[in-house]
Amino acid sequence: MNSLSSADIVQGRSLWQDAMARLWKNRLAMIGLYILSFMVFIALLTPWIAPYSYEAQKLDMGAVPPNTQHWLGTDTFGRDLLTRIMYGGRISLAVGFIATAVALLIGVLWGAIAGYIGGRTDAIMMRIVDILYALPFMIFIILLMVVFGRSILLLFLAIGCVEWLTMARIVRGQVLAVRHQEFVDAAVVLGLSHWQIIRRYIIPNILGPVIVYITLTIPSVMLLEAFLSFLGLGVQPPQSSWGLLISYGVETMEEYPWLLLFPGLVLSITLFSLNFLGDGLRDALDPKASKD
Amino acid sequence: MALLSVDKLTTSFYTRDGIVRAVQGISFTVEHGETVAIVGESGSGKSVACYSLLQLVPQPPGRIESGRAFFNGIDLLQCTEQEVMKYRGNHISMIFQDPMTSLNPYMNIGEQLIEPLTYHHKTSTANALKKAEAALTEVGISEAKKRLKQYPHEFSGGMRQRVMIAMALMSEPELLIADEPTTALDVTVQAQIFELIKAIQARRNLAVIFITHDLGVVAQIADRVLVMNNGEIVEQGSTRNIFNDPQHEYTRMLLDAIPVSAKPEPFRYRAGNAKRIILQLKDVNASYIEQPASLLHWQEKRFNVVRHVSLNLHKGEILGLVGESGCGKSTLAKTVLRLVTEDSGSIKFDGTELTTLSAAGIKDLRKDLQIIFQDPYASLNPRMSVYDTLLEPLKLHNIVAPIEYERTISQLMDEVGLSPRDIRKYPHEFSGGQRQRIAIARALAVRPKLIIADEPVSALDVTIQAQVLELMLHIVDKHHLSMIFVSHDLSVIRYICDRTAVMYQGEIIELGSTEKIFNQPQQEYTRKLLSAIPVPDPEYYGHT
Repeated sequence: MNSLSSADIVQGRSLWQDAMARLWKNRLAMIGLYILSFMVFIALLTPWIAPYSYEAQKLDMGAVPPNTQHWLGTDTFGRDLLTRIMYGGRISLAVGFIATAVALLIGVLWGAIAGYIGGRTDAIMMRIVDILYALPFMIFIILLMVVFGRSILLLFLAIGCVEWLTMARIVRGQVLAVRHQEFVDAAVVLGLSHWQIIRRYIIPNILGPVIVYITLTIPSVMLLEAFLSFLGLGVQPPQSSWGLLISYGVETMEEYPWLLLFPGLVLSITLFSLNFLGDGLRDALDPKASKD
Repeated sequence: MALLSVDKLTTSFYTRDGIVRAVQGISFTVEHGETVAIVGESGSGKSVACYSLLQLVPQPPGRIESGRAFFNGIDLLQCTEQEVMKYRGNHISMIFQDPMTSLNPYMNIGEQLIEPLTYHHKTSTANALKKAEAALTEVGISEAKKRLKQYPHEFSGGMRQRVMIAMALMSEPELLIADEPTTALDVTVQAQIFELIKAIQARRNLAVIFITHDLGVVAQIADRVLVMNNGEIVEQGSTRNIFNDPQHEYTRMLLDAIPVSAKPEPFRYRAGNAKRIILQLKDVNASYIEQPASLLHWQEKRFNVVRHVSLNLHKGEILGLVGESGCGKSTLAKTVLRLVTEDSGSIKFDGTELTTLSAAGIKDLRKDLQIIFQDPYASLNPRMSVYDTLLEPLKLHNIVAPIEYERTISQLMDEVGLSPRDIRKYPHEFSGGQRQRIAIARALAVRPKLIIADEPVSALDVTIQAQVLELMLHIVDKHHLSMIFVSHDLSVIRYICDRTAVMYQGEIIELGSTEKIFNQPQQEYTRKLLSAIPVPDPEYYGHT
């Protein structure tokens, strides 16, 4: 019986290690990851590496197309577009990631607890979600702004607090489906605590839809920020964000097309990268999706 | 002329992982009024072969590569989709495995029954309904007129399968293809459905193709048998010849694998240690709880499915718990495992009263009491490698020191007959039988005293069943375990259990040594159960 040589013993690896190994082999996802990392890196370093100041105006120069001094051209106030895109990226990426993280945290916890406990707790928790759904979003945000004053951080939280509702619903539905599978009962019989079961048996099995939803939420949050800023509730000039740059670019599209083209391009590349990375992560976390 | 004659049919599936040759050039014929059984294990291509005839194989990924299938002289495989539609549900009807999902829940039975008639023959609704009523009566459903207006959920599983048969008969087909029509049903219901099909067949001179994995069923119903393996027909012949004089090795293997009452094997009875009672149930009652649908009318529905159950399990014995679906046997198992809280009664395990146990006490109990579930596809976490699955119990209960983890896991794999090299694989990379072995290894990892096996082989092919049952016997003996073996399959119970308890409507109506239960059943219900087991011996059913 004890004839097991050391060659027979293979070291086990966790799902996450396996997932990283699989992600590493997915070229499209890795390109997405590199581009996103590059964007974040630039955004962090912007105050030190930006070629100009984001608010320095050269009114006499006005809007000029891309040239050697201003690689991406300038806007109607003569401000350097590259600099404004870099500073805008700081706001947009932060809104996108932080608001989505808030939504993710609240949504997954809320949905997982409701789905796992089930019964009356589930019914009450989901009715609360329904009631919050029914609240007009704009009034909610305006109220927050009136009470707490205008601040970027509050904007992040406010958007996150609205986006978690859908996340909670998605997660709860998935948990209900997983909850009654026999492997969960098997885990109970093994003696695992509820928290261990949620963490190790339930959550890994619902990640697929959650990741897809995240990749959809980040862009919608970025556009939401542009909308709120447009209404005067979000970022205020001379600060900017990608969303604001684009909406400004749309107004002047006919005379100065580069003001729309470049911010639009940057946002599109970011969203593409996010989608590629999201799809890659979803596949990497599903052992069935790929063979290695 | 034969009704159906299939010549060198080949069907393949083009998947991402390569070409799967599901059916490889098979030829067979079916005569008018004849019953032909196609037998094989899952993946043998028996269903794909029949689905190909009516072009029901999804294309792509499937493709019917070559072959001919003459039905009344017309080659079905050369027909366009439109032309084949004229045959589907008209000249050729089908019955599927799961009567729960093959009826549309939003249409009443009448509407579904008349559809083939109004579609194929443009019969008026009134006339079609009259025929539907007659068809329901023919399949043994009383008050047919009233039943026509009811919806599928108002019928039991067996009744639904009768409705499916009635529907298949509506357009007076010449050929009926039945794909595992009784696999999802209880044995007693299965026996009734067979009687029904045979009676109708004789009355209408109907040809039947019976797709099944169960040789007992074959012996009972078929005139001729085709044995399929890996997409090929390895042997065909009259039922009697196949059973008495199997030529092909695979056929012999299938026949050998049946764990049955017809085989003259002695009853297994290891007395266990009658003085050491490991589990004692006294007057246990338990309920199945249905959640209310509305927050405003919060009233849980309780169904008392386990009633006044008392039994003793001796150390070292295997106790069978047998009964039909819904009799409460799984709920009883879950009550012992503390997955369901009992309504009243006492459960003593190895001297400890379980019903009053604290949360900490329950965690300790988990180490001694394990379960093996029915469905090896649902009972393993798909996102955990085998290593992690087996590591979980070792870590949780400090069974061995961390330095011993790998060695212990490899030994467990070895013990259940799997290669320790595969521990990094995920459950989906294993076959059903192998996954059930992993589940057994997980249960063994904590070194339990009692294992409850809830239909552990029902989802497996017969040859795999035999191997898994052997393994279970082996581990019970080796580790001096006790086991409760829950099953609806009497032949499996007969094979593995020392004593057997028969459960009916929540109560244990008979309990004794397996030999006594089988040879001298005391209760009417037990006798009914026993007589319904399909015996894999054509002589028994008087076939010639």
